[in-house]
Amino acid sequence: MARVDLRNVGKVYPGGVQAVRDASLTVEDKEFVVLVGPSGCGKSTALRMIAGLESVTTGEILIGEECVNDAAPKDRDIAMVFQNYALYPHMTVYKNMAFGLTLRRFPRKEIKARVAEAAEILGIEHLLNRKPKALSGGERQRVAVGRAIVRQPKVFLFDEPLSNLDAKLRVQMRAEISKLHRRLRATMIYVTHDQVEAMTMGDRIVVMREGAIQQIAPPMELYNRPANTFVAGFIGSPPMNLVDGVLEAANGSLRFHRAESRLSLTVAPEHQAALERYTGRPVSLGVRPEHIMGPAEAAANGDSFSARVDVVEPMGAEINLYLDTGGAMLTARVGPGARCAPGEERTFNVAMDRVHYFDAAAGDAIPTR
Amino acid sequence: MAGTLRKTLIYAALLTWLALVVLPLVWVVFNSLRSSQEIFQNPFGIPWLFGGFPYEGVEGAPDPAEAAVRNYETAWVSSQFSRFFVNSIIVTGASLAGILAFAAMASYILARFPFRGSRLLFLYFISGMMIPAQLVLVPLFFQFTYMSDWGSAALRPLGYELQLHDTLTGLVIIYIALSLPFTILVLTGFFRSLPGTLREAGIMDGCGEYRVFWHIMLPLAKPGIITAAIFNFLGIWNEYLFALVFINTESKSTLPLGLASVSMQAQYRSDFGLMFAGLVIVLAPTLVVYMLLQRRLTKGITVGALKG
Repeated sequence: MARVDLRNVGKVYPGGVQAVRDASLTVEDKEFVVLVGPSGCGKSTALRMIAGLESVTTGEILIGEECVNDAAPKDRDIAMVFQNYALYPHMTVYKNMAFGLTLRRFPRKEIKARVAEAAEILGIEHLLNRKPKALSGGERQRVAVGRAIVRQPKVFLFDEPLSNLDAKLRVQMRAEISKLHRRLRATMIYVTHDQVEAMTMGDRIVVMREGAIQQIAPPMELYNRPANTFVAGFIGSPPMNLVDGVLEAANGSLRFHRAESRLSLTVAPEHQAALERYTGRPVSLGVRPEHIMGPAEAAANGDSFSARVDVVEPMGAEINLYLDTGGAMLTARVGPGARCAPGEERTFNVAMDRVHYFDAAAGDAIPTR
Repeated sequence: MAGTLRKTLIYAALLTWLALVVLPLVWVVFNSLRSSQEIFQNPFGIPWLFGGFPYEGVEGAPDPAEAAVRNYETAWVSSQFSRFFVNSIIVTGASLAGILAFAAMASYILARFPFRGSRLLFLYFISGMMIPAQLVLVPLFFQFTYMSDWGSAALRPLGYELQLHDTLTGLVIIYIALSLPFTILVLTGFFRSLPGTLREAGIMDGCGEYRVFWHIMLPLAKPGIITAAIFNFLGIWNEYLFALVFINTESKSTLPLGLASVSMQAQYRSDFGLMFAGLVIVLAPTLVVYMLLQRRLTKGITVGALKG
């Protein structure tokens, strides 16, 4: 097993497109790291560079202690699971899984034992003599994972492996891959555009945007302390509310105010000191939907605003409300007891001690705690 | 009611078509089992062998079974069809092997690895289809003379001679060259339709580009290769013009040449039974090849590689 190091890695495609810029990342031994971001953010390119399917334009990639920039994929001791499975259609499941070992001239007995073990782990023993076309999507996915497992590589790479499965199967396979990681204790790098997959599976998450790494952090830290407005808006569902406004001094304390709206909120006492130097300057206020309390729930450390309820989405365990504050739209997640009807004017509380502030120009978080 | 009528019409059309295709074949096979005497009496009759012998017991009448066998015997032995058959097998087999090997490799590269000028190279190959083969006949004849001279000069130190005129080797080279454009066109399209991630999966599994080609891409291109093989087989097995021009020695003739000479003799010797037997010998392998391969032809095997 091994750690993977990316040192100032960049990728420029022949057409001049910069797919990845100056990415530095260390994946520790046995760690499960998820690369996440919207399509075109460079996450797949980064993974393919680690795999050796794309050349590295600048910087270097190390697997173990070895620079693999110029190493062929087969010499990197890695295995990859592809988004569309990429099973060999003319081979049986057994041959698909054994192919890599056969090429490496493993003894037949060893191959048989390894395939049997992997098949048992994945619960596909009964499929070994079938061809891929006789398998369902979930089964094909398992075979693709099995093909990676039998090689017992140093590093596993997953390129959006679940995006072709239906929603229910995706949730199931998500848990299985997490379980597999614990069982194999291998280094895994996983690419997805689905922030739920990233949050639920990763030991650490790497958020990427337009080729650049935005933040590297464990899931809860990413959620609670996003580094900038992009991460704040990308992680979490429904996403964090981001409102542009100004910090104003009033009666010895700071207030966040948004022009042409009814939104005017007193900054929590513990944030005052950190935000002082932003007085009179534009900032973005970030509020997670669950930190906006319904009319029935009072925030201990909050301020209130009034808004018109636009849309009511009952989710069962909670209700999502879309609020119009006259110029800024906010999403609130309130308890199932809240009785709101579309069109009503209501008062809502914001837990001001849980609010995030971002520099409006750069988008970076203003550290407040 | 309309449905039944429709069905009836469709079946009637299909049966007519079946008759149009099968009856001539049956007629050829029947006549190959008859003596010329029988054929002249009634060109569309059923062989005496099955249909009843009208001269039963008549002194000196030919034996119907013997007539049937004699046609094939004459064709195979005295008319040297056995020889032509072997020549045809050699020429067709070697040509097919060469065509498929070269075309598959060229097509794979043209389809999968675009490089500067690859489009131009593809068009250059394809442009070969726009030139009628008959047009190159005369220049090629002279070119073969030069090529034989140069080749022999180069090979002489090794103790070999290169003879392209009047040899099966020369004929094979011509057939390969003439068939490449079409075959490359078919196979390039086929290789393009194969999913590219399979190559990447192969590379991750430890293949080099050659292994990817031999172990993954080539097996997947099988339907395309079979299609190309059948088309080329039909063309080369029945090829007459180039064989006629470049082969002069009778012992090196292919089946179409043999058949032509028999049919020419038939005009004078009136041995039509022999000609029909020759026809059957030429036809049979084509039918067998087609019957063996047509099921593979229609069956795509990339299903299941990817999602869906």
